[in-house]
Amino acid sequence: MIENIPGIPRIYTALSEWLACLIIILPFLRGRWTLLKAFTLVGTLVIQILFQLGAGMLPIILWIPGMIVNVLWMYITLKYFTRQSFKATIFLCSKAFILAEFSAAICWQLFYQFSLGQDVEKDSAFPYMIIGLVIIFFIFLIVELRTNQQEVPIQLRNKETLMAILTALIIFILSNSGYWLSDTRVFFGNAVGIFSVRSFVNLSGICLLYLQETQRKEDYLKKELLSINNVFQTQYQQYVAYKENSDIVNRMCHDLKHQIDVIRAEDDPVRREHYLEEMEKEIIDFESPVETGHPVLDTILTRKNQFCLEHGIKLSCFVDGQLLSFMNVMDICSLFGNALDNAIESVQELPNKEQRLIHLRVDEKNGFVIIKLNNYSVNQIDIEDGLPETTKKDKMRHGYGLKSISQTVAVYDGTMTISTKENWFILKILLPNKIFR
Amino acid sequence: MKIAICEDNQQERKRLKEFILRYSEEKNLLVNIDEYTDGIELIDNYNKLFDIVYLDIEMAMMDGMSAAEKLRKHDENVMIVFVTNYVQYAIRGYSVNASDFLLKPLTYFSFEEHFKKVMYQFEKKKEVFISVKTNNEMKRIDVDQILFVESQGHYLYLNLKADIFTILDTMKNMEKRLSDKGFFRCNNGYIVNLKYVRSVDKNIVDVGGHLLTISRPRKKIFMEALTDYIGDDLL
Repeated sequence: MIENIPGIPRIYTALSEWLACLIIILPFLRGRWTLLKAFTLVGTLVIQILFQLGAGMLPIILWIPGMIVNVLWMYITLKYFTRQSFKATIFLCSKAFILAEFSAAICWQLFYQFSLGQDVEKDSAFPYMIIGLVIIFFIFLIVELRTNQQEVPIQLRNKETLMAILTALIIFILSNSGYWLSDTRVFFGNAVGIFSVRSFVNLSGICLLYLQETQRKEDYLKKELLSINNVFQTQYQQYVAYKENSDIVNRMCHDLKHQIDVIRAEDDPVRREHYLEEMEKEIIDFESPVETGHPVLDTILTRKNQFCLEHGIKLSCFVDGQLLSFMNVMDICSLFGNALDNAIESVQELPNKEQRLIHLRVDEKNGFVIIKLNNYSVNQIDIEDGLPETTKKDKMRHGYGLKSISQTVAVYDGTMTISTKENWFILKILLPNKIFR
Repeated sequence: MKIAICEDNQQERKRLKEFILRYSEEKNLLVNIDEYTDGIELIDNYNKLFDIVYLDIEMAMMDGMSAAEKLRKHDENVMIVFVTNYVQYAIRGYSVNASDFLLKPLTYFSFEEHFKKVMYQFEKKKEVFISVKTNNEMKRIDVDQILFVESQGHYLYLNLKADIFTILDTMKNMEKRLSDKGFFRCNNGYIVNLKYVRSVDKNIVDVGGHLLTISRPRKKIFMEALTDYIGDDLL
């Protein structure tokens, strides 16, 4: 057994760090190679090596600052080539760092264990190390390319970034624990033991980070699928509505012919007026367009308004749709669809048709966009934790509407409040106005 | 309260008038109603004394929408309420800053609910004063003039639009007196008049040009208070 494996020469650490950055950068560059970029990449390698060698010459007390400088350089390299956000780059950097730690450690360990007993010169390690690193990183590159196939944008919340940093940090500390615990009674055996622990801990770190990433991607895809389904649902409803409409129009045309004959034959002006009024009432149902200046909102509101007319609900809306042009179409659909569905469902339970009132306002005030939806309600509504206790039996599904609204609102840095005043249920949403900024 | 009704259908006009009178009788309000049969008539005789104008959308000479546009040019403050049929549903009320619209056929129920909210708006428009003691003299201050209150040591500084008053009082006390008047405390040192909030960027709120910090734990309730405040401005 070899009693002592010397520390990994700095040049391999640098190389490994650079290769780790490279395999993360490669999927981002897909076909957009230029000579300049290639040169810059090589430049970053040179600087990384210089940093590592420089750090190697520092006294052991400055070991940690030396590490930090190197990690910072990895961060800069990643940021420059991937052009991701601050948080995303931090995540990538954590991943690259652990990958580098693992690869360098395992290669160096294998090299020493296979050269058992032989008196190896440090310099003779070079070809083996290079080959080892290239093989390992080639495997990681395949993994990276495969996991990045779905083109999911990296969107991280603060919590997830923090988690990535902590994972990297803990793994790093644990993997090096063999060194600073060497004086204590914790037994790691000899240098081989220390290195084995190091490699294994690093490997589990890599698994953890990939696990986090996969989880996040799956969440994203699930959410996307959900909103796509919502859109399909809306489109389907629209289609059904159009079909209904054309059926009714056909029927109406037929009826109108008869009615005109009847009116022609009628001599009494009062009764004639009565017939005309009835005809007018029937026509009203078709002319219920809502104009907001936003085509998508127009469609949603017109559709909902039609439903309201059929069910004796008075929906009044003053909506300046242009104010919402900064919003994603899917978000507008789900926000207004959900909010209006809730309001409609609530007023539909009122037996007195006069009470079925809904007001929708979208306006601009003090540099904010305000969305206000009121509906009349005779039920006592308990507001719990910012969201009302649902009055329906199916608690899970009903609560979903308001939750989904509040999620959409959060995406745009908005605020949502729910209140009741006398017999009115009031939903207010405040969004920072992004048009005028 | 001076109200104008502009409606070409005599029956509808009469009905709306009856509703207003019935409501004002129930609530002991003093109202004065003028009637017009066309937009052009209203515009030609318009003086700024009205509080509310009820406008029919479809009228022979000048329709309600054009009348509203003309009205707005003369008078920024008058409340405009459209009274409309489903048939002329697509109205761009926001472009003339209309307060509300009533759908025909009118029912007393919907009118009453509408008018309650109108009255609430009127209550809010009234001037509210607070008395404070500054330099040994009592002063009455219109709260509308206050941008924000700042606390420093034992003193409070009332930052008015054009002046700063120093008073000896506690933040807690002041917060209690102002909280139902559209003010909200954004951190230990400031009580802000929500009316003058122009923007909120992360933890900085712009109050009439003054940039104040919102404390982290208060950010959420501050934004909620602001949402409620701005939302209550709409009928």
